[in-house]
Amino acid sequence: MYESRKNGLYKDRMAEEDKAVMEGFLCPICKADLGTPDQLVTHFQNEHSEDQDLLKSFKDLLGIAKKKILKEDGSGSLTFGKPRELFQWEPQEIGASTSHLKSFEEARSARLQRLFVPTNQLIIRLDKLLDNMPSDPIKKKAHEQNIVPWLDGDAVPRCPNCTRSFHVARRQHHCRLCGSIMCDDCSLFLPISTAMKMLDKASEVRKHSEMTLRVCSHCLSLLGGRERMKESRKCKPIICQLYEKLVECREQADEHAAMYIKMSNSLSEGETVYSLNDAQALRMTIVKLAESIDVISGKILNLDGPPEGGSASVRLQKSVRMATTAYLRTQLLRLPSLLSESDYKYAQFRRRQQIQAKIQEEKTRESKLKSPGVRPDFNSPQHNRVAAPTNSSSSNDIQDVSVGQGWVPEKKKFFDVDDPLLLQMNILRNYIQEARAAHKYDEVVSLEANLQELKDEYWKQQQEIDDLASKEESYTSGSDTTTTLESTEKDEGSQSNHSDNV
Amino acid sequence: MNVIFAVKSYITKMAEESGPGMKVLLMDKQTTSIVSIVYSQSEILQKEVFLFERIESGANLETMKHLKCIAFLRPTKDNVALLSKELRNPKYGVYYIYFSNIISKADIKVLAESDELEVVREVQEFYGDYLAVSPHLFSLNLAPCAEFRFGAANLRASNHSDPLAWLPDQLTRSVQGIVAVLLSLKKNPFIRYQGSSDLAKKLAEKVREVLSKEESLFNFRQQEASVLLILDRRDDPITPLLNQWTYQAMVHELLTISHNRVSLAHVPGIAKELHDVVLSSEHDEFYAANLWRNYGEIGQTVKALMDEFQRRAQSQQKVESIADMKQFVENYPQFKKMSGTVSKHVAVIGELSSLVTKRNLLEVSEMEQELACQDQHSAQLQRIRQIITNGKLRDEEACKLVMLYALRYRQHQNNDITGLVDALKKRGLSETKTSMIHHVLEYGNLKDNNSVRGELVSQEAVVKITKRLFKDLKGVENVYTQHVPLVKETLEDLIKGRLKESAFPMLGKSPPKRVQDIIVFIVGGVTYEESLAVHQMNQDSPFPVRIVLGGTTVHNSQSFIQEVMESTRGMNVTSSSLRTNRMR
Repeated sequence: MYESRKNGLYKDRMAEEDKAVMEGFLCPICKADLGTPDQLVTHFQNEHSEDQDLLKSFKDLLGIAKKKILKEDGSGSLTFGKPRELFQWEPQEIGASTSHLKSFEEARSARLQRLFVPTNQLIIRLDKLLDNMPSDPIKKKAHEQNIVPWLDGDAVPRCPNCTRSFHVARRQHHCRLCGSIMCDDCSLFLPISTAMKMLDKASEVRKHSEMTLRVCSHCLSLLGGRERMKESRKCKPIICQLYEKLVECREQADEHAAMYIKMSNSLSEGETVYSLNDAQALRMTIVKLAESIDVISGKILNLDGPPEGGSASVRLQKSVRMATTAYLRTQLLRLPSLLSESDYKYAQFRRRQQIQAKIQEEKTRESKLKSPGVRPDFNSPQHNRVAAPTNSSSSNDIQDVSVGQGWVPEKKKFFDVDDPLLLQMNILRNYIQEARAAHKYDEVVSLEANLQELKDEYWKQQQEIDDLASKEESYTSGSDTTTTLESTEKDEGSQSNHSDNV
Repeated sequence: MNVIFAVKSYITKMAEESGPGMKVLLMDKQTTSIVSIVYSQSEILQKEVFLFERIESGANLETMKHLKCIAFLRPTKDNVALLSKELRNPKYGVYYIYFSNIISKADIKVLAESDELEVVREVQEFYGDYLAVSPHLFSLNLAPCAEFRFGAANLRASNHSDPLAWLPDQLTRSVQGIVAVLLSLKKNPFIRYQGSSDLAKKLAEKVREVLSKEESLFNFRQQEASVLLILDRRDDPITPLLNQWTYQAMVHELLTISHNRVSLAHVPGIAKELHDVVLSSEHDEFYAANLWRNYGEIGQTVKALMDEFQRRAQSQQKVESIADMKQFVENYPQFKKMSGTVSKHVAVIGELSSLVTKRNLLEVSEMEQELACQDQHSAQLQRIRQIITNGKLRDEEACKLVMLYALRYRQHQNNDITGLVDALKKRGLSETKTSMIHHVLEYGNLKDNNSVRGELVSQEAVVKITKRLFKDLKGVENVYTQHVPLVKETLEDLIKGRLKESAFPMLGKSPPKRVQDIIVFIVGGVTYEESLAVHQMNQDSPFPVRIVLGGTTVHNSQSFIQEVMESTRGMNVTSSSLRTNRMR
């Protein structure tokens, strides 16, 4: 049911796009023939306001149809013979999958517990040992034995590591971490500074930092293994840093390129939503980004591999370079070129003509409809809408913009203007400048639309004041406002000339 | 029901689930082909997968902790052992592990206990366990899949009348392949199989076993009824023996496509970059648009492509103004791509046409088609004699003609198989070559004197004869492409709900009359001719059906004969040929 309605809508909308108006602009719900698209929309909004979702899909479809048409015009791609017959099958979802992560993690943590308990115990002991360690040797010894009970020396006649027997010259020593016994030759020493690092307390200034802890080889290897693991997680070779930079540039370039394509399409249609200069500036930015992407990937390619001369890292570097060149070639170099100044003028001229023709056509339709007196109530608000068709199309464009890139003008300047409208206008102009600098052209467009509204409002106000003034014939107070007005006009002329020629 | 999409979306998901950063893809031999057949290198590079390693090689000894490792492996014992070794001493920073099929809990535990450094972030089953050749065609690349059951004579006395039996490994792999297809397409089908074939029956039973064992996996939101139909190549040994004239099938028959690649290295004087060309409908627009076209049409489209290319090349040459230059740079990638496409297809088609002339294929194919589609024994016998005594013919083609004749007129009263074999011997063919005819005959001897199929044949024969009459009345459009593979008739019967239960029994519940989705699997391999038939049925069938075709492999005549020879090795073919003689 919904599907069929939608199709009907689509057809109507398509017909409208093609300006093949013979079928008429039928309301999809009450099937009444409304003369013009705008009448249809108003009719729809007034009569069927409860079907909001339908209205939305209605509007979306306009966008779809538009995109479709734009695409068909703009592509110069190669076609080989007959286009490939597409499968008429419905969109397919991804196949089934089963996750074993949970059982995997359970089995793993059971295993790790057995392995990591000793290591963690060592770390806890180390922490306790270093905490408030007395400098006096006797006290220190008591402190150590308090934390780690030392093995009884009588039970150990030989060093368990080298199997040589203990005597006066070869004395017994204790590992400070596990309390086991060894000879001096088999003892290892852990510098306190290193130990502090292991405990992530390196920043703490300690008095015994030059001292060491006597430990056995077993304990040191356990601790060392943990250290290596920590190290490997943090390790980040140069290629990573370069690659991160590369990805950052690519993301920027993608964002700009999407914007640029939209601008370029709009411009070649002769629309005046974006300015040609802006597009050129954006193109330059993209080209600069492309250059830096190329340079970075070149650097990655020429990186020296690790000393082992591994073939894998060389292959990795080559692949990154290859991917980047492919990206540059397919994405950035293929951007459409802009129209020249004169071509743009011509496109604008053509579009204006088309719009004129359309207005004319709609007017004749309206007059036709008016003469028998059908629905005169829709005609009065109509003129305003028809007069500014570019605005309506631009507002459609704005709807397409993905939200969430969250651009906010940063600085806020205050202006010494009394009139709140003028103040607003000045602030807006400031925003527009910032937006342009940040390549947020959609914001520029919407801000300019706002500015235009403000200006209209301001004009109206001034007109009223003037009227009043002329009626009361008191010229003294009027001169002040006129000068402000003139100055604002100049300002507008220099900053947003293209929004004026709508 | 698009198998390429199914596998591709799995791989895309793998690449994306691991998040941004440089990645390495760790695969085994089979998953390497599974991935490479659907994803081109440049495509996967854009997913930040920059390195490709094979788990069994262990060639990369370098530690690269800054890489994320995506391991896509078949769940074999060897792979689990290799992977757990890798995890004990990990070369890469983190691991995302995907198995291409169902893996046992015990194996998961082995892996988990090897992961002492906690490098594993993900363990999943992604059922991309088959080669997705076309959107509706998959292959498992298994050949041969069966062997001669020794002592078949004894077994024949019991219930087992089928002389062939599955090779155990191939059976397991086939079950896994079909299960993966079903899971990746989210289908829980009704199962039917070719009753006359033990191979088909066995496979159907095994698949059914998995379906009921892993019930929870197959618990999909039930859609339209789907059917898994398992057939046996021996039901139709004719199709793989025929010469083909549509582009894809022809390239496979004459040049052999393996994993979307064609080797032209043997062609004299060919450019080095054309030694190994890739023919992928996913990445080559020209190929995608033309793979179903016939030889004549292809010639024309290639000419059009050439003209177009020349036109563009010329316009590129006069780079005079800055504007020209700009345009050239903008079109350059397209231009380069196009020139690659042009030279590739021109080389392939050039080689095809030279083979067609050299092997006298037009005449051969006409004879083959007549044999396969028409019923004029004596006239055909005479022509075959004439053709095979003709010196211009290659031995292989002569041999294939006799095979077709033998298969076709095996039960004809006046057949002269021995006479033709003698004629081949006179041509100088060795005993081993001529024995191939008997092997093929024995292979194709799928219980047709058995009562079940026998009745069916006689019934269907009437239908076939009337069909043929109609065809004769209409006149043949193209003598080289008259043949319609048997699978098409079988499928049409299935769609119309007319497939006999006696010949194609069901396992478990019987499906409803109307089915929407069909997965056909041919034990012993499929052909591109059948792929085309299925493609056409998908495109414009009077019924809205979706069919996916699969097989243990994709055959051309050469690989088919090889499979026949290997499957029937040890069979006493001379006695059977004696039997045919006696039948005369």
